[in-house]
Amino acid sequence: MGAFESFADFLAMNGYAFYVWLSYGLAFLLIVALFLWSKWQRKSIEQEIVQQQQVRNIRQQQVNSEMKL
Amino acid sequence: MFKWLHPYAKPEKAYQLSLAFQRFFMPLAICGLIVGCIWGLVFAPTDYQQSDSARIMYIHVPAAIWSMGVYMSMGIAGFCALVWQIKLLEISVLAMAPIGAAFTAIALFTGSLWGKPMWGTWWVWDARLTSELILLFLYMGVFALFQSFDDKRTGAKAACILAVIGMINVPIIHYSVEWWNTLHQGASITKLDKPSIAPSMLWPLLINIVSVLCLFIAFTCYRFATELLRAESHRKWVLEILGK
Repeated sequence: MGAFESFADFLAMNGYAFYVWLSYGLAFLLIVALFLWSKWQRKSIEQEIVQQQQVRNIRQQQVNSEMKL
Repeated sequence: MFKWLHPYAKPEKAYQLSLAFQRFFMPLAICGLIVGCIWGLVFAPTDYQQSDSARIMYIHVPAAIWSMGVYMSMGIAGFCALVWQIKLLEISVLAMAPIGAAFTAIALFTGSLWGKPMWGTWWVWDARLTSELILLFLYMGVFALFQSFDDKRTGAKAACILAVIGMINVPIIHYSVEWWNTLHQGASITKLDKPSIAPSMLWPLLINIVSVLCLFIAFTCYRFATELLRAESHRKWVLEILGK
C-alpha cells in the first residue's frame, strides 16, 4: 500500500504515529469546529431576524387596530 | 471591469454571489483535501532524513502559507475599507479573521508536533515561531476589536486599522528564516528558483495548498453572507430572503 508494506505499518508511521496522527486529527477537528461555529452563527442570526420581524408585525397589527378605534 | 463589478456593491447581489462562490469552492476544497491528504499520507515516499514525521508537512505548509495569505487579503480589504469607506469590505475583514486564526493555530501546533521529534523541543522562542504566534494574536485582536465597541462602525474601523498595521508582520514571518538564525528550515517552494523538493512530494503538497485556498474562499463567503445578514437585518431584502 503506497510507501508502506502493510496497514499496520501505515498506522505506525515508523514510530511517529503519535505526532503524525495527532497533528492531522487536531487540524481536522479545528476546521470542523470552525465550520460548525459558522453554521451555528448563521442559524442564530436567522432566528433573530425572523423574531424581530414577528415582533414588528404584531406591533403593526396593534397600531392598525388602534387606528380603527 | 468596474461596470461589471458595480452591481455587486449592492448587498443583496453580494450576498447571492458569495453563497454561489461558497457552493462552488466548498466541494472543490473537500475533494482536494481528501486527495491531497491520502496522497501525502499513503503514496508519497518516506523522507530519507525525517522518516514518516515529514508527512506532517502536507498540512503544516499549506496552513502556514495561508495563515499569511489570509492576513494579506484581510489587510488589503481593511485598507480599502478605510480609504473608500466600503462597509462590505469591513464585513469581509470580520469574516476572514477567525479563519486566519484557525489556519495559524493549525500551523503552530502541527509545527510543534513536528518539532518535538525532529528538533527535540516543542517550542523555541526564535524569530519564525514567535512572529507566527504574534500573527495569531493579531487575528484575535482584529476579531475582538469588532466586538468591543458599542458602535459597530467604530469597532469595524479600529479592527481595520489593526489589520492594516499588522501586515508589517507578514514579511517578517516570511523572511525570518533568512534574517535570523533559527531552528526552522528555509523556504523550499516559495522562492524564485526551482523548488528544492522532490516532485513526488511536491504534488500532494501543491494539491493541499490549492485546496486550503479553496477552503478559505468557501469559508469566507459563507461567513461573509452571515455577517451581511446581521449588518443588514432591518433591510427589506433580508426579510424577503428569510421570510418567504
